[in-house]
Amino acid sequence: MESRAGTRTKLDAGAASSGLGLPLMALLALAGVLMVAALYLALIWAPTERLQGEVYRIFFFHVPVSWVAYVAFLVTFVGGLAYLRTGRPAWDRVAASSAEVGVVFTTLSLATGSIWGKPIWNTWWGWDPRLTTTLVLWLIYLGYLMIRSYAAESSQGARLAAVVGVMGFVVVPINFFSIRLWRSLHPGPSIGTDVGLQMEPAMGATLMVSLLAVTLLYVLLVIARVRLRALSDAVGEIKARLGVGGIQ
Amino acid sequence: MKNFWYLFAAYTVIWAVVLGFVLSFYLRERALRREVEALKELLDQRERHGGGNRRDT
Repeated sequence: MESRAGTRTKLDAGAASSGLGLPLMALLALAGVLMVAALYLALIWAPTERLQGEVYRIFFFHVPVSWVAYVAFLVTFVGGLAYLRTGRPAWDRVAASSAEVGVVFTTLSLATGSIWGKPIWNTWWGWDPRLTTTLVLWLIYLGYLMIRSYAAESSQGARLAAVVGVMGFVVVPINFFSIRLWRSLHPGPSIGTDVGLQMEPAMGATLMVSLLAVTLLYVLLVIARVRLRALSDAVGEIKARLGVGGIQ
Repeated sequence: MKNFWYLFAAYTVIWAVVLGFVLSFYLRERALRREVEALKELLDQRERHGGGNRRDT
């Protein structure tokens, strides 16, 4: 059993863990600068689209949040596999934190897509392959988070959620290729086609800056969430050791 | 500007959701910090009274 001094050390470490180190501060500053630049480029600098007008500028954040959601679920897939193999809680924290951020980004993808669709397609929603598979993806990872919340034991919830996170990842490539595989209301790919970038260079540059800014935002949110989960786990462990339930 | 309100709504949703998410981190961290302080106080009390929970020693 750990000594009382050891418990105090853990508590002190927990209290001190909120401080941002220099690398994290630098990353935060870089993300801030990139985000301001991305907003300027997207809303002011990029030229107006000939057919859609100004509303097409939603694209500069709709596409990055959708891509970064894929990355988030890939990290959940890898973290879940590693957790199932090793049983190390650190992998579970990364997988769960990434899933949480991924669900938020998929929510943004669905919301901004719907808002963009209304003036262009004259409807908020259509049961199109891309939209439907995005909704399925969102529901799977929402289920992942609910399993964790409602499980009687946290380790049992973590294992079950890891299985869902690994199996649910199958929908990501289906979602990605849905606009190539089926006839879709959703526009086709603008990057990664046979002819390269399917847009004006200024629009492409804006998209790249925005993608970088949103990716950095994702990294920072996952780091913050992992730290929070680690603190929460440490507090839970100490409470169990001290034999206390809720502390007022 | 044609369809300006849709553009405004989309960017408002993005930033409202991101800021709400970050705020939830702050609130959760603040609650955890209070718990850490309460646990420290409990540990102090147990040390002062010399007894305490045997599972801890």
